[in-house]
Amino acid sequence: MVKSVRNLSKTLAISLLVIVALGVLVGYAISAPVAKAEEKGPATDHLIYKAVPLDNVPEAIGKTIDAYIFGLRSSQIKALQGKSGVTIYTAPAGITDFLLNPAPVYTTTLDGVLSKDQAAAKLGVPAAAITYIEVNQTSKKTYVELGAYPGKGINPFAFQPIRFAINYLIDRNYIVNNIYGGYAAAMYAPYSYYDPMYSVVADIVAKYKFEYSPAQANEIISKVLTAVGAKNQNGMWYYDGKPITIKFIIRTEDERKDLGDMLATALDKLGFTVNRMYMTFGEAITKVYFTNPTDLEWQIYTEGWGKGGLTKWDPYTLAQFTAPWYGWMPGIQQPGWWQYKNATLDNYTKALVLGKFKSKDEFIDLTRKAMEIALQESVRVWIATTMDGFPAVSDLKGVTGDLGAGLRSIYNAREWYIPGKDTLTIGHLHIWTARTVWNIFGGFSDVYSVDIERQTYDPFDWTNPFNGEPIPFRVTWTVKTAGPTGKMTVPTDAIIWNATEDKWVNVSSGTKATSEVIFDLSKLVGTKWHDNITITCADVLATWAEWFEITYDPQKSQIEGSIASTAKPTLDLIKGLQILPGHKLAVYLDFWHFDPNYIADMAVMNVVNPAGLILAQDYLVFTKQTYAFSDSRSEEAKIPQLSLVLPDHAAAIEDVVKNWLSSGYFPANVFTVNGKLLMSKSEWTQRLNAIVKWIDTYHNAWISDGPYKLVKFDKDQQVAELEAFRDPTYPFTPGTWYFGMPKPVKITNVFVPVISPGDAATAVVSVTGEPPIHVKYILRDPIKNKIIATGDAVQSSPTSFTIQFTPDITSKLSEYSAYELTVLAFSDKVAMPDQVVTSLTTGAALSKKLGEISSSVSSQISNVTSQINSITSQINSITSQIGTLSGQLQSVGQLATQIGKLATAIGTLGNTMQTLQSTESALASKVDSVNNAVQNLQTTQSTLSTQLTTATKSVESLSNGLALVEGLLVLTIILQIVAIYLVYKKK
Amino acid sequence: MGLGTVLTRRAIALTFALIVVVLLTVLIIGATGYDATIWKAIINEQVRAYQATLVQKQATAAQVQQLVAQYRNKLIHLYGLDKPWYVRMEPLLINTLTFNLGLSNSHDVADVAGVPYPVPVGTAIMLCLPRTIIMITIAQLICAVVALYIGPYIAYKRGTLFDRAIVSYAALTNAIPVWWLGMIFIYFFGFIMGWFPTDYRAVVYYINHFMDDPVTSTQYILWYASLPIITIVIAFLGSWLYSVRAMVLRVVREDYINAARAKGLPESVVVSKHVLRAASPPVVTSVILSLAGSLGGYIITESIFDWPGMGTLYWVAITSADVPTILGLTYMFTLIYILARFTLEILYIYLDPRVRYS
Repeated sequence: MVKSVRNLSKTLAISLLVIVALGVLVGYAISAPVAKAEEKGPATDHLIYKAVPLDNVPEAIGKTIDAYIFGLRSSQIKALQGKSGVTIYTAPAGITDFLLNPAPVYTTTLDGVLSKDQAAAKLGVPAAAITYIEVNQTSKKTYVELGAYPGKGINPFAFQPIRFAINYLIDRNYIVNNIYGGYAAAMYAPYSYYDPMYSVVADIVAKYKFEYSPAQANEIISKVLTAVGAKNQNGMWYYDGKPITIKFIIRTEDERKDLGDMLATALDKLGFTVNRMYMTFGEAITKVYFTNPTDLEWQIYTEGWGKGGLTKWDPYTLAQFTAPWYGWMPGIQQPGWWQYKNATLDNYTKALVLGKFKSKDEFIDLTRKAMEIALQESVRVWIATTMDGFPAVSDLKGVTGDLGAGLRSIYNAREWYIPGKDTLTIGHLHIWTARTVWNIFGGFSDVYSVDIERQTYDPFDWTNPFNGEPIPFRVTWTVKTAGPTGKMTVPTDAIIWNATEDKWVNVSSGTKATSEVIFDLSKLVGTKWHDNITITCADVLATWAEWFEITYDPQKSQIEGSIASTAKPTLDLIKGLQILPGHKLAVYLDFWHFDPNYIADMAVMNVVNPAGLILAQDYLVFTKQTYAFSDSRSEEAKIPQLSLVLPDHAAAIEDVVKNWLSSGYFPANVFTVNGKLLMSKSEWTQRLNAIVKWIDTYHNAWISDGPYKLVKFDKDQQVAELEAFRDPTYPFTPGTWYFGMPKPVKITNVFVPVISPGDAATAVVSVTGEPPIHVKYILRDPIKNKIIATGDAVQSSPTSFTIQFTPDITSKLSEYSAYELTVLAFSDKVAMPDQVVTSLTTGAALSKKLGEISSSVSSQISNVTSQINSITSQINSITSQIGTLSGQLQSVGQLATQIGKLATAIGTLGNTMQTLQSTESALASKVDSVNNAVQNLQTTQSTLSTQLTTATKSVESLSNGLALVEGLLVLTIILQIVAIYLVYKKK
Repeated sequence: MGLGTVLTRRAIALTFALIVVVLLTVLIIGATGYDATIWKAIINEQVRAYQATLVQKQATAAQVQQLVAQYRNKLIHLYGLDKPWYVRMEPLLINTLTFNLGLSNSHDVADVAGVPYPVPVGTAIMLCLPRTIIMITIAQLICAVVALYIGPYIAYKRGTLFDRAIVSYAALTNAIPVWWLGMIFIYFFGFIMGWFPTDYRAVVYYINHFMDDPVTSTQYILWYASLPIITIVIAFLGSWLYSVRAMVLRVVREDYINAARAKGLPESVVVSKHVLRAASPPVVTSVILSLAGSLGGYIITESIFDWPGMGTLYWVAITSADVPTILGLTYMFTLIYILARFTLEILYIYLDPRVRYS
C-alpha cells in the first residue's frame, strides 16, 4: 500500500515536472518574438507587404493581413467598427475648408490722390462698397476695387466681414459627429488641433469662438449688405434690382458634397440665391484655379487637402493657406490676373518662412500676428481635420500612435510583433504603381514606396511622433551656432565638392558659416550594409558628392533640372564638411534656427545606399542616359525612372557594375580627401562583387542599412517581402523606437471662486500630461462677445496652475454676472492641447457687500433691541404689579422675603438686560469696525458671523430668562393667591 | 453587282467610317479644350508641389518666383499647351491612322498596364487585352454557347415551367448589377467559404509571365479567373437566353413555318432548315457584336476584382486626357467593330437565304 502510494507520489511528481517543463517550453515558444529583444534588428522576423483593395479590407483584416497601412476614410472605417479582434488606429490625414473668392466686381483707376470717401463720392457708391484702395503718389492716381457696383453686380465675399461671418454659418460639431461619424476634428484655423503649432495660436482661435450661430452671421451680413446698397425684400437679398446670386462649386466625390449642401442651405435661408454647381476634381479645379478670380466663375469652393507630417515649428502651412505671395490664394500669382492682396500678411509670413526671425519669441509673435490677420480675413474658412483609420489585429504589439503618420510611421512596422508569430502580413492599397520609384534622388514620391522603404533604412534623424521636433535616429549631434547674426570661421581643412573638377577640395581660406553641426556617426560607420559590406566614411562622402554633382555639375544639373533646382537652395547653405576623429563629421552651414535640432536637421544628408550603388546610378542616368532620376526628366526624355526594386533596372545596375569590374574602373576622386584615400581599390572591388551577388540573389538593387532587408519585390503580384537584418553590428534592438500611445495633456479640474469685482482672485487649474505643460486662459463677456482678458497661468505644482485675476481685471467685471472662462493646456512633448470652457461668476462689489452686511446686522440688532424694549416694558409693568402686591403683602414677612428674592431675580433680569444692551452696543461697534476693516473682508465676515451667533445666543438666553421670569410671575401670583387665601382664612 | 464589288464597297465605307470616328475623337478632345484643361490642372499641381519644395528648401522669394515660372513654362512646352490644339493633334492623328500609336503620356495608363512609365500605347493595349479576354470575353463566350443551346429549346417549349423559370431568371439577373454580384461572391465564396481567391491582382503576374511556365501559369490563371467568369456568366446568361429565345420565337411564329409544317415536313427538318436558318442571322449578329464589344471590358467589374483590363485602361486614359491612348483605343475598338461588321456581311450571305448578290 505504502509502496503504491510512493509510486503514485513519484508518478505525480514526474508528471508535474513534465508539465512544468512543457509549460516552460511552450511559454518560451510563445514568447519567442518578444525574446528577440535580446537580438539586434526589428521585433519580427519577416514582413510581407501585399496589395489589398479597399473594399476587401473589412474581410481581409485578421484573415489574410494583420494590419492595413493605407488610411481608410470615415465611411470605410464604419464597416470595421465593433469588429472583434480589430483595433482601429487613427491619424489626421486631410483638411477641408471653404475657399471664398474675394475678387471685386469692378476695378478702376481714378485721377488724383483720393481718400476712400472721395473715391466713393466720385464713383457714386457708398464708401462701404470699396474693398481696396491704393494711391500712387507718383502718378497721382488712385486705384479702387469695389465689391458692389451698379451695373456690375455684387460679390458678397469681396467684403471681409461677410467672409468672416461664414464662420458662424458652419455647424462644425454636427459635421464632425454626423457627416464624418466622429472621425474628424473641428478646425478653425490653418493649424489643426493635432498640429504642434496649434498651441502657439490656440488662444487666438479660441478668442474668436467660431460657434454655429446663423443669427450672428445674419446680423453681420445684413449690416454690410445694407451699407453697400443691397435691399432685403421678402427675405431675399437684391442688389441693383437683381437677386444676389452665389456660385457655389461643390465637390461630389466625398463628404464635401454634404458640407457644400449644408452651407448652401444656410445661405439660402439668409436670402441669397445659391447656384449649386456640383463638380468632380477636374472640372472644379479648372474653374477655381484656372480662371481669373474677377471672372467670378465661382464664389465658394469646397476645398480639400492632404495633410503633411508633424512639424513642431511649421511656418509653411500658415503661409501657403493665407499669404498671397506663396501663390495658393485666389489669383495664384498668375501674371495678368487679379490677385488677393494683404501686404502685412505677406511680410509676416515671408519673415517666418524665409527664416528672417531672430528668436523664438519673434517667431511666435510673427506667427500669432499673421494668424490674427488670417482669421479676420477668412479667405479660407476652415471646417474640419479628417482622420484616417488604420485597422490592425488587436494582438498586434509595439504600436506607436504617431500623430502625423499613424500606422505608416517609421516607428511602427519595425517594432511590431504578434506573440507566437514570426511573420506579419501588412496590407496596402498598392505595392507598386507607375509612380512607385525607388531611387533616393528623384523617387520616393508616393506612399507605396516610402512606407516600405522606411523599414529598410535608418535616417540620420526623424521627427518625434508626438510633437514633430527633429530627433536623432541613426546618428547623434552637437550644434554650435554664431547665429542669428554672427558668423564662425570654417576650418581650412574642411572640404567641399568641386563639381567642375570632380573632386573634394579644401574650402577657401576665410570661409564663414553661421552654424556647425558635428554628427557622431559611430552607430553608422563600422556597421554593415545589407550586402554585408562595412559602412565607412567613404559611403557618407559618396552621397554628399553625388548631390553636389547633380546640383552644380553644369551638364548634370541641366539633365536633372528639377532635382538640381530644388536641391540647390539647401546645398548653397553648406559651406564645408570636415571628417573628424572618432567617426565624426562636421557640417558647416549658413543656417540658424532658435531650435538647434532644426539646424542639425538642415545639415543632415541621409546615407541610404552604398557608394558603389550611388555611383552606378549616376552612370546610368548621366553617362548612359538610359534612365532618369526624376519624373520630369523621365517625361521629357521618355525614358524610365530608375527604380532599384525592378528586376530589369537592377539588371542594368548589375551590367554597369560588371563592366566596372572587368574594366578595373575605380573612382578614387570621390574617396580622396586631403590627399588621403578613404577606400582601397580592393575594397571597391569587394563592394562591387557584393552588389552583383545581391542582385543575383534577390533580383533587386535595393541595398540599405535598416532593420529589414528587401528580399522580394514583385510589381505584378503586388507583393514585397522583408527579412529581419540581425547583423551583430546593427545598433538597435527591438523596442528602441517604440513610443507607445501619446498621452495628451488633460485639464482635470478648473476651480473658479465667486469673484468680487475690483478684488484680486485666483482660479486653480489641475492638469495631467507630459511636462512641460503650459496653461493659458481667455476671459470673455459672452453677452457683449468681448474678450476681457487673456494670459498665462502660473505653475504652482507639477499638476496645478493658478490663474491670477488682478484687481485691474476684476474691476472690468460687473456685479452678479456670469462670464466665460476658457482654459487651454498644452504640452511641449505632445501636440493636442486640451480646452475647458467654464463659467466665472461675480458677486457684489466689496464696499457694497459690506454695507449690505452692516445694514443686515443693524436691522437684526434693531429687532433684538425692540424685542428687549418690549420685554423690558412688560417686566416694568409686572414689577409695578408686583409692587402693588408687595404693599398688600407687607405684613407677611416670609412672603416679603420671597418677594425680595423675586426682586433680586428681577434685578438679575435687569442686569441681563443691561448685558444684552452692552452686547448690542458691542455688536454695533463690531459692525462699525467691520465697516472700517475693508482690507480684511473675510476676517471681518467671520467676526461678524461670530458676533451674530453671539447675538443670537444672547437673544436665545434672553428668551430663556423671560421664560424664567414668566415662571416666577406665575409662581408669585400663585403664592399671592395662597397668601391671600391664608390671610383670609386666618382672619 | 458582284459579290466582290459589294464587299469592296462595304470595306471602303467601313474604312471611311473608321477614319471619321478617329477624326471625330480628335475634334472632341482637342477642339473642346478637354485635354488642355486636364493638362493645365496637372501642370498646376506639379508647379504647386515644386514651389512648396523650393520654399521648404530655403529658396529665396526671388529664386522661387524665377524657378517656378521657368518650371511652368517648361511643362507647358513639354505638354504642347503652347501650341493650338490642331497643331498638337495633327501628328497624333496621322500616327494613329498609320498604326503608329506612340507613347502614352500618362503614369496612370502605365499603372493599368502594370509597367513603368513611359509605356507604348500598343504595349498597354496588348497587356490589357488578354486580361479582358480571359475574364470577360470567355465569360461572354460561355454565355453565348449556353444560350445558343438552350435558347431555341425554351423558345420551342414556350410557356413551360422551364421557360418561365428562365424568363424569371433573366428578369432577376437583369436587375442585379454584375459588380454588386461580384462583391457578394468575393465576400461569400472568397472570405467566408475560402473557395476562391480574395485578391486577384496577382493574375497579372501569371499572364505576363505565361511563357515562363505555361502549365503552372494556366493553373493559376484558371484559379484566379474562375470566380469572375462565374459571376459574369450568372449575371449575363439570363439576358443571353432571353434574347436568343425572343429571336427564335419571332421566327417560330412566322407563316412560312406554319406553311412548312402544313406541308407535312418533319419537325426536325422544320427546325433545322427553316427555324434555325432564319433565326441564325440575328443570333450570330448578336454573338459576334457582343464578343467584339466584350473586348472593351467592364470598368466597375474590373475594379471590383482588381483586374486591370481594357475597361479600366479606357477609363484612365480619358480621365488623364492621355490622347495617344484614347486615340489608340478608339481606333482599335472601331477597327474591331468594323471587322466584326464586315465578317457579318459575309456571314449573312451564307446564313440568310434572303441575302443574295448577283
